Amino acid sequence: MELTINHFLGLSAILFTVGVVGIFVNRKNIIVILMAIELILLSVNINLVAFSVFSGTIEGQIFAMLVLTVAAAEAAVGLAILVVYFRNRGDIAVESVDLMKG
Amino acid sequence: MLPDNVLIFMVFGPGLAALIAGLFYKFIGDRGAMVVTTGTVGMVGILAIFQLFSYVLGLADGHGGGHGGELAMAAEAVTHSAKSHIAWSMTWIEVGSFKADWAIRVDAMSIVMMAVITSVSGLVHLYSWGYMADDPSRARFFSYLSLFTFAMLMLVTADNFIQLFFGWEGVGLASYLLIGFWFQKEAPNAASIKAFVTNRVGDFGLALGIMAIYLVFGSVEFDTVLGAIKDNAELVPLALAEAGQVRDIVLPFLGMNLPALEVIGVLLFIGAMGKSAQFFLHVWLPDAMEGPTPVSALIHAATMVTAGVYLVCLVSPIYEYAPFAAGMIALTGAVTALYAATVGMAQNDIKRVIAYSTCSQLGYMFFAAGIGAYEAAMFHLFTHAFFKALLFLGAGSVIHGNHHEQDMRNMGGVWKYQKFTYVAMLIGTVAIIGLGIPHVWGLSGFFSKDAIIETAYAAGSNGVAFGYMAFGFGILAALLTSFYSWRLIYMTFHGPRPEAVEHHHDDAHAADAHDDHAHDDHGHDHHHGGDPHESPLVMLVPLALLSIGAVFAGWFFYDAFVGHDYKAFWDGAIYTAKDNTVLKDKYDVPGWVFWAPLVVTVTGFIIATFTYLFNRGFGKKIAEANGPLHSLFENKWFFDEIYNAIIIKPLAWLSERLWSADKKVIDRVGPDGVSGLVKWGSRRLSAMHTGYLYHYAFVILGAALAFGAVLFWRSGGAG
Repeated sequence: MELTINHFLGLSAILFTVGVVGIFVNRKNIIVILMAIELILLSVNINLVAFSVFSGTIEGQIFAMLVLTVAAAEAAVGLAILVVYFRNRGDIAVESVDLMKG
Repeated sequence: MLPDNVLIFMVFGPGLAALIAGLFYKFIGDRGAMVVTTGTVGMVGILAIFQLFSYVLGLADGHGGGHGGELAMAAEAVTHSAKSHIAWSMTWIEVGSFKADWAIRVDAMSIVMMAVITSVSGLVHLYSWGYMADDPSRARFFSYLSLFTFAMLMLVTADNFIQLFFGWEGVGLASYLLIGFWFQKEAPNAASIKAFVTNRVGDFGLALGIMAIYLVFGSVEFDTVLGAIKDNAELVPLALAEAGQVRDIVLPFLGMNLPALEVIGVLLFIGAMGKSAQFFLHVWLPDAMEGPTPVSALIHAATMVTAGVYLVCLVSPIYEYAPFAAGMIALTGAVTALYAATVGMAQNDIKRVIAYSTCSQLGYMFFAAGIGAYEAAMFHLFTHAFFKALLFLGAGSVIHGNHHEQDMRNMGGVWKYQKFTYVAMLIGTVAIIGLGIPHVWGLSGFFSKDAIIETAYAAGSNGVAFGYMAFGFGILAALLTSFYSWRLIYMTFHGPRPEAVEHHHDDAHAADAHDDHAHDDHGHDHHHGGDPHESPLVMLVPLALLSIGAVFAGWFFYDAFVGHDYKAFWDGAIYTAKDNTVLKDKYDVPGWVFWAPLVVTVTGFIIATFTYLFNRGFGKKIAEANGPLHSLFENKWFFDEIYNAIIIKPLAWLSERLWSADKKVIDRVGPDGVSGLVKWGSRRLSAMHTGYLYHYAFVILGAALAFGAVLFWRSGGAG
């Protein structure tokens, strides 16, 4: 069986869906939300790289590197916020993070 | 006439003084405010008196040819030009064809009114130094007084109806402020509101009248409007297509076609009725006595209440060609003169007696104007200002000396303690009852009142509507005037001191909430015995000066105002039609008409003397028997009760209903409904903010998807 672009796009869509569902369904832990975001970003990366390979251009892979960098930075900042938040509230359960409630 | 700059100062000076005293008294202090206002108004008063005298004496010089010349002049055709002088003017309102100036226009009427206003005002200012000496807010008082003077001067120097209306409302405002000057007490508040509201009724008429004038003449300038009537010019009224002679123009009003001049005349007179406290709209004047006495003297006796008379005389051309309106004035005036006199007989408050006497004298002025003797009305206005201000200030002196006692039943024997005031009040009384010997000499009231009564008789014999009736009512009112004026003198100044006075005095102190404590000190310092005391010199000097006016004003100005020189004196300021000759005919009335006022005056004096001096108990017995007539008079013919029943009660009921309808219907769907809707919507919207991250994320994602879908679809879809 030959790998076509559709396989990559399918994998990417599955990963994306897992990420989104991970954000919504998860009611427990903010770290899980962060991980879900990472998944979404990865699915985008797979898309980019797949398009790059199959169209024979390099820009997609460069974009993927960029996304990776952003993802790393985002993870660092997100975790740092989490740590500070935990220090302040002693809890990172999603349910209790409702300071923005109207 | 004085130079223009001086005239400008005379009008605006008091206004400026009022501003300084009212806004900056914190910096200049009470005394500063008093000096500024009294100084300015006093100076203006002296100038105005000087102006009047130089005008009158100038007349005498101008045609010293004697009476032959006068008769020739009188026979001459009526002059059509109003010889007025515009000292200063600027455009105030200009909208389309509507134009109203702000001007200082001086003619004979203005000269007379300015002299009356500023001289009495100056003396009242001075008098208040003594009368209000203990009051904590003197600066405010003096500021109001000057404000009033300014507004009144504005009124009499207006050159159009709009500016006149401004002055008219200005004096109304000042009157309101001054009646309610002691706003800590309930009665003055109620009285000030009553005065204001009653005046609104009249002002409604005046405003409508001014609008009607604009509708017909397309202008509100005195000279244009009155000139058109004098010339019977042909013009096209606004909103009416057809041109016509002014005197024949017909105006649709309330579904009827009425002569325009009649409509205007009646409407303007309704305004005058409110301001001058004529029958039906008089109820505010007696209550206005809640204000400080100097205010009563200045505003509610000498000047403001005569604004209505001034207005009627000012627009004399209208009434010359509006017989119905003129008849209404004559009738109302005559009824008021008699009505107020009957009520005055049974009042016990010294100020109320004088208030009703003012009302009655205003009635005289009005019926004089109504029968066509505008000059006589203005003459009575002029002399009345002096003796009525004198009576009020004298009463104020008595009240001041008797520790703010106003009930005459608690006075008596005061003459021993206040000899100067007693003499002044005697002069005022003799002047107001019009004592004098016909063809010889008398006091001011004699000249002006007799001129009115004689012209009324002459008008009656000329067939003027209500002429004889006005004459009869005038004679009867003169009898009553004499009676109640002497009753006041006897009850206040003569007889024994009432026993209870000491006790009552203490009561009065305890009860008088308004009473500035300084007044208490005053009482304790000088008067352990509770005896009356003479007032300070600053209060007696105005009495003396006004006494001079009350004695000599009539005699000195008779020829100029209503005598042989009147044509030259008024000089077009007052217009009379060619067939209106009442002023000249008053010399030809039967002999008994001259003597009738003297006879009734002496009769009234004798009755009062018998009832209240020699048989002191007799008057009291009448009051205690409380017969139907006495009770009718004492209760002012039940006017307040009737108004309460037929106007105030239903109005209050209706207001209550409307208020609840407003609350339940309009508020519910209106303001309350809208705010409720917003509140409800906001609560819904704010509920969307759960604070949970995943909700926000969901919204963001959904939005992104929707956005992407739209872009995808717009770019042509998958194909």
